[in-house]
Amino acid sequence: MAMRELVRRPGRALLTMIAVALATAMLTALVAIADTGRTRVLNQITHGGALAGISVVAAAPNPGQEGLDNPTAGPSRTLTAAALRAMSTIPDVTTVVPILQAGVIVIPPARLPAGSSFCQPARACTTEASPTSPSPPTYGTNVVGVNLGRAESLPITLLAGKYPAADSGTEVDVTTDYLSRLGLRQGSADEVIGSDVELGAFRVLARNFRIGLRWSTVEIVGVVNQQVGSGQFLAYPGLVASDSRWTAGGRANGDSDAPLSPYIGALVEADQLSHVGAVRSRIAAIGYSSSAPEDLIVSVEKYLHVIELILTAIGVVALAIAALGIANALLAAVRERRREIGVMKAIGARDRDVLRTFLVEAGVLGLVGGIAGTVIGIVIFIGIGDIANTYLTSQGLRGVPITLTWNIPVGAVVGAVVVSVLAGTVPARQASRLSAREAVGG
Amino acid sequence: MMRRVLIASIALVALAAAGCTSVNPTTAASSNSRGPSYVYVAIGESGASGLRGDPSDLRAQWTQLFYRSALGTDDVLFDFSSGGQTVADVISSVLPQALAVHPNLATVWLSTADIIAGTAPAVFARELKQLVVALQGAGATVLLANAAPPEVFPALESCGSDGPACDSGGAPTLSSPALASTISAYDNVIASVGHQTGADIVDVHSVLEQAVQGAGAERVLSPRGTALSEGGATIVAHAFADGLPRRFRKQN
Repeated sequence: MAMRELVRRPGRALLTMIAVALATAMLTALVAIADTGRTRVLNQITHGGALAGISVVAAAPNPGQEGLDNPTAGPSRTLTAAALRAMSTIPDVTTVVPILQAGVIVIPPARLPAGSSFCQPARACTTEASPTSPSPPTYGTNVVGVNLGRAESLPITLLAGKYPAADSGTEVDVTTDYLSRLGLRQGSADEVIGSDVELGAFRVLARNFRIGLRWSTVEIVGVVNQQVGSGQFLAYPGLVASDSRWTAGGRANGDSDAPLSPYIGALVEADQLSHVGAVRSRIAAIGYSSSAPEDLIVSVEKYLHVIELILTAIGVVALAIAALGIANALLAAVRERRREIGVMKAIGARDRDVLRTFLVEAGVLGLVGGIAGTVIGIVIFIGIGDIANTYLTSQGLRGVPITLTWNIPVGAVVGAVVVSVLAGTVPARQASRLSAREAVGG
Repeated sequence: MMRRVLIASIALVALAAAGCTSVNPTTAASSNSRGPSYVYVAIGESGASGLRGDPSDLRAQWTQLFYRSALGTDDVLFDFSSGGQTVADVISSVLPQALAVHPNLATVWLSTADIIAGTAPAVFARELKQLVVALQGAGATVLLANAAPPEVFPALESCGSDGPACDSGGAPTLSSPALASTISAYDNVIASVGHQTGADIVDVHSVLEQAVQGAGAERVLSPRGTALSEGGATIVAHAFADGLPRRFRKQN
């Protein structure tokens, strides 16, 4: 009967559904955008790393600055494998990811990609090398080694391509600084992916500073932004360890600057944000300085929560307006159908039968409007996400992950149905309380 | 009768299939890939390596050109080239570190510093043999280059009289004929060491001489005349690549 009534007055039903749909769309889109914005802001603070991540450096702690998010580290201190093992045994620590770093000389490809600003005229660089074709000069940088199997919890952002294959000794990612070095724009990542680069680690061979170079050829498989270490190349630890060991061998030949340990730091992850402070204290007790944006994250989360509440409230107000529309439409229906209700009552319909008819009508309006509104809201969210990602990628920044948790659409549809049914309660009760004589006579 | 024929046919097919699928490790390694990664050690002087003190020229070292063109991307080059080092210098300071990386390919191009230092050919021969044998003992295939022709290093002729490349420490001046005869003596010694040790000789002398006669010294030498130009380095890299045993060559 409820369905028949909806079909009988399609104009009113459609307008009521549109009101519900628009309100639900607004609520869905606002909640989803708030949720994504929260993820993006926290990612920015942690550089894509874990919220409860702690950065440990190869330096002693500074007693006067313990507890600060970004303390000034004390004097340098060799970070040993034993110290890293000790950190992994601290209670509430879930992971310790060592960071290795080695200084290298880079020989970029002799032929520059076509997009390079060094190429004049444009595309001259892709042809066979000629006396006028420029070759990018060799230069020095670092290659940073980290277990990229855990990249999702590290401050690393993959901009293009892929991460090196697990434990690969020949694949690397490069940072956008490498693109700049070759005169390429940040959006030209595809130009370097697949190219080979030679990396040379040096060792002092004798006290007269004769240098021996260990050259290896690596293939660029991706472009990243990384805050793990300081260098233009990112690889698995094995590749970096070989170079680091080679350079460290120069210490025996009088090179006092040669590193004693390949580790420049570590990323320690606590099991939750509230344990970060305690874990940092234990790391300081082991003898190393650490930093973590824990205070900043807590403050920012409070602000983000307020923003989420405001956006949700805007959506809820829209839904409330839609609910008033439903109530209004149903009240009009009750007035129009008094005679019909009287006949129902006269032939034996009980109050709860009439109540149920109107509540089902309100529920159907809420369900159909809610589903349509949720779909519209998701489309709006994806559209805004695409626009934002296009802008961020063009700026060499990581895009926003356009993912929607299941609870937002489900919550929106359920919310729309519940609000509609609640809005329909008053007219439905009014209709159910009409006596047969009153209804027919009215 | 038919059953016998059928059984014989099945047996024949099975044998043929077994013959096709049985894997000879050596054959499989050589047909599918070149085999394991190689550790290549380059031992030489600055002139031999083409290093001219300018970091941007690293790309044009002959060792780099050889490594890039002849070896595979998963091979590693340890470049121990250093200016003015004699065989004795190499044995004392470089050889232990070169052996420590467990090389399976080594190129040795030494002679210029010994010529400048006035090392007697007999002493040079003994030391060079010691070096080559040590590398071979570590499992390395050794490519041994002979001396560069006098035309390639004109600065040698003025050694002892303020020549730009001269760091002889008071070695006697070498006139042109004397230098030619010294180089010839060294070449004989190097050939002899190659013969005794089984090291492959790379005839750098001839290829550089031909290049100078064909295109002029300026194509082979750097503007100062003290080291190889990129063209000269390419010629030397090709000479070493030609002398490289087939198993080391990268598959394209």
